[in-house]
Amino acid sequence: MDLSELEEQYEAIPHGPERANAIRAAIAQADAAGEHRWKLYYRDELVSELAHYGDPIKRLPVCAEYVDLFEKQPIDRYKCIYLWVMSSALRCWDQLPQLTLDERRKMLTHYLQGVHRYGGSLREYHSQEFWQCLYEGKTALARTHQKQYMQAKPPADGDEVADSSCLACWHFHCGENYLALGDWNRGIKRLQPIISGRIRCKQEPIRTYSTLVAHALALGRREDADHFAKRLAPRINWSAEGLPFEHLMMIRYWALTNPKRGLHRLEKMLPAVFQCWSKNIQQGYYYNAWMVCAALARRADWLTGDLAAPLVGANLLTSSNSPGLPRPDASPDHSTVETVSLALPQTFPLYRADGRYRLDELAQWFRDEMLTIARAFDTRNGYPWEQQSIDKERYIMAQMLQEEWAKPVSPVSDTYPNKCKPHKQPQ
Amino acid sequence: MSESYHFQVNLGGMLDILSNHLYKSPDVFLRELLQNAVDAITMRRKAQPDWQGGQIQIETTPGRSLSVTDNGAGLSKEEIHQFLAVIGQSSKTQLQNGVLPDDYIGRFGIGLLSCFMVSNDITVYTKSIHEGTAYQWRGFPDGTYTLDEWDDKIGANTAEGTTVLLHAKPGAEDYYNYDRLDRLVRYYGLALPIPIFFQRSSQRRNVMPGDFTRTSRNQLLTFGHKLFGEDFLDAIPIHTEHLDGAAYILPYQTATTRKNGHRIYLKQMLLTERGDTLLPSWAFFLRCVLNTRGLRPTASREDFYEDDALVEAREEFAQAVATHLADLARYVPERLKQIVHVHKQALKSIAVWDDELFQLFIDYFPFDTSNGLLYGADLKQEDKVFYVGTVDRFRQLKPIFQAQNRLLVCAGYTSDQELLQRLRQLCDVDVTLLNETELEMALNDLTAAEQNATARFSQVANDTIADFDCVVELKRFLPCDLPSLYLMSDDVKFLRTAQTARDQSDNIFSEVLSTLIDSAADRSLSTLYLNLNNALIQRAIYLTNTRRLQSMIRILYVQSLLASGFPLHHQELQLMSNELLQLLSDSVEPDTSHPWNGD
Repeated sequence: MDLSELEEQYEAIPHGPERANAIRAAIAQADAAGEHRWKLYYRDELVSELAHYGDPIKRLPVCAEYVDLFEKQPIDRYKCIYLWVMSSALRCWDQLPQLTLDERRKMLTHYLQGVHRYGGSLREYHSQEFWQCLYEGKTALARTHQKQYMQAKPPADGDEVADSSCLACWHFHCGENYLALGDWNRGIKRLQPIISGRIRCKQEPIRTYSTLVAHALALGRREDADHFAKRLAPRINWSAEGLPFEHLMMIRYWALTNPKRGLHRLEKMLPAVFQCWSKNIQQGYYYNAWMVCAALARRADWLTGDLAAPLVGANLLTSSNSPGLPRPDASPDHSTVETVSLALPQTFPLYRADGRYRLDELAQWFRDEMLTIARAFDTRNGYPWEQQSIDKERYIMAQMLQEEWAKPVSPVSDTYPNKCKPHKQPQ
Repeated sequence: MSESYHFQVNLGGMLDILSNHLYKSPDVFLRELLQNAVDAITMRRKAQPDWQGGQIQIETTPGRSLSVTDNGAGLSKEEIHQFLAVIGQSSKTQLQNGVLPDDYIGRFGIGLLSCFMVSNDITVYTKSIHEGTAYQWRGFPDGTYTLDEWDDKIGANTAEGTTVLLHAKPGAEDYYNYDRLDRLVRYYGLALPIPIFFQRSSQRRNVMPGDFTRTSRNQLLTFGHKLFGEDFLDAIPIHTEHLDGAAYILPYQTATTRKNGHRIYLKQMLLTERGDTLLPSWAFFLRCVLNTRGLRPTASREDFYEDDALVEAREEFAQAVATHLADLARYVPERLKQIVHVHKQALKSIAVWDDELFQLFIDYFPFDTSNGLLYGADLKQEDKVFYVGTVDRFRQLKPIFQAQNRLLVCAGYTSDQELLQRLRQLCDVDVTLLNETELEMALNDLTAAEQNATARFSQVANDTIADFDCVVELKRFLPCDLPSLYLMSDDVKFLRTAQTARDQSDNIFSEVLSTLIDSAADRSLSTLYLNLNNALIQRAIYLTNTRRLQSMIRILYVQSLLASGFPLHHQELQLMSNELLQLLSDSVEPDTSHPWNGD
């Protein structure tokens, strides 16, 4: 069989585990045929599929195979992809706290050697360093890397394989880095070509909209969150498998505007979350679940209270006891919920056969799990970046929830009532 | 005090950027010429409400020259200086009562420059409806131009209107050939409301239905065939606030990533073939011809700006398609069945999100089950439906469910799991995700007596393959001829991949993968179920020779892995090889009399 035909076969399958399996089958055929070029090609495809539509950690062994194959028999036209695969592997350190910083340093050195050997750009190196400096609390150094990242020549239009990113990705990372530094205005300015629709790529504009929703919520910019969530919602393909970033960010927004819908999505995603190896994704999911539970119970104090104190046993019907926060309106449409009915897997530690769960128990469990992961990352990085971020964002979210509850009840609570929604698959 | 200066503009460089880098293909020069002609005619109709004429004539001397003539408003001398000679200035963006006019296609004042992609000079003959004099304007790529009065001494067209004359520059001759021009006219100008004629022929080159909702299905399909060259399954007429046109259902399955092949017009001029900005992600099974209104184009006029109007247009499109499919389900179910058969993937992803469409489609959706392919209508008749979430797990369990005459559905394909859950919620079917409890029901426990009798066997078996992160359990299950069943969780599957990569890697990844594998110490193991209903296993229970028993367990382990379709590690291949050699060795009687025997 012509190995190139395998690509057409898996491209007909939607992104997710099924497609990843089809690409694995293509790799097996390329391996069996001993076709070096196709061995590399399909592994690159699998890394990309897993990075964007699967469990990002699972790309690590595939990256290892790619690097091993390439280094034993380099192909000149694939040198940029080799660097991309290396940089993709480096992203795994954001996903799993067990991977040590020593190992990361060695990997980054290896990556730099590759850049020097094959003449790639230093953009990705500075991007990697930017994030690591941020996690380690070295903000000034992070800013230096951000500058160097931006000073590196942007990729030319259509230059998708050169280094690690296309022009749209470069704009995204420039903007995202500013947002991570808390500079909303500069972030937006950098993201403008994507927001306006002038440039796009496989990841854009969905990734940009998701990121903007997350940062708008984190900064308490409610109108911006509404604006970009409205842009994001119709583009989301909810039937996509796995745990895409945009799903998590939309649920975070729904914690504020439509927690019932958020809970429904969380229920569907939980089995996949338990199977997921990425601690980063789990942390994001648990954080959202904590927010959604607090929103459903109308308990802002579950977010603002002492994170070491138990939530279970608190009287649900006594309202917020946080100083300065008004008591929520107990109108029928904003009614307080004590328990919820959910079909959760038996592997869930709080599993109940009758499917009835107390919201305080759920909120506490999700909060504690989220904190455990955040602490693991912070311990590895030697700086409490994750915990500091959570601390900032939980108060802002609590405040926004209070403002939401104080609004008059809208007759339409869902922008997209249960009707056929246009959604866009990430490219 | 600071002094102010004017920017110096390299006009030649600007022209190069605009004409050679803004547009994706030189083809667009004809689009820009048609656009200007249509706008000129629109302008005249507004200025002279009683005049409702308007036509565009295209003439070419193949490979050499081309003229595009309209009988629109024309340009006065002042307008020529103002609009033809100032880049970025357009007669169509002059504010009218403080607002931009909405009835012109162009607005950037850069379209004419695209002609420099195919010609080294642009000549414009024009006569305004407001002024009696005709003019000849000639522009050059270095940014210079000339302007002269023009008369009819040499037979030039001095009626009101405009003629643009181009001469082929070297390498661009093909753009001046009749066939190519005709194709481009029909490509870009098909939806234009102004008739376009070629070489003074009376045959109009651009005809498109004015209102698709008032066109018969057959006419729509015929038009679709002419436009796209496909025999479509159906045509969906679309008429909304922002959209007019038709969505055609492809007669074959197509890749979900396919975004090209549409004809999307803005104010009746082709804007793009790509549908990813305007159309929903599931629309990959459709080919659309759509004229849009109220949407903003980008400067290259090859895509839309992302704004509220675009969001609304997207929603209108989705609603129109959903409504049409719902009508089919009610009135022409056979056609819908055919469409679902071809495009089940796309329709499943729509039905997941729409209760009404779910109810309409679910009976037609196929599902892979232990009883073969069953439809939603079949599942509704079942008392109990179990499903598993991955194709691998389904393949492993399928023979057991078949032997026990129980129904297992594979929900490992996109949207199937959500559809099955909806089947439970909306159709009250007892649909359950197969968990370990139900699996235990399929794999029956041994009696206490049997457990006692097999305790030694179980111990030896578990010790034998403990190194492979696998536990052995004795069960009774059907079919009896299946001696063993290997169930591997996704975690174990991934760990096996990581181990293989680590073993093969002699680079920087080896250490990292070890850390990754070690981090999974508390993750679940795989299970090898041995079937006590199977005659081989029954005999093995009574094997007293521990070495032979170990050998048999190892072979069963590797054989089960292979039967389940898992690739073997080199340790497992080695294991299989050693055990087979041992079996062969055991089966051959030692012949002490043979001369090769050293003893």
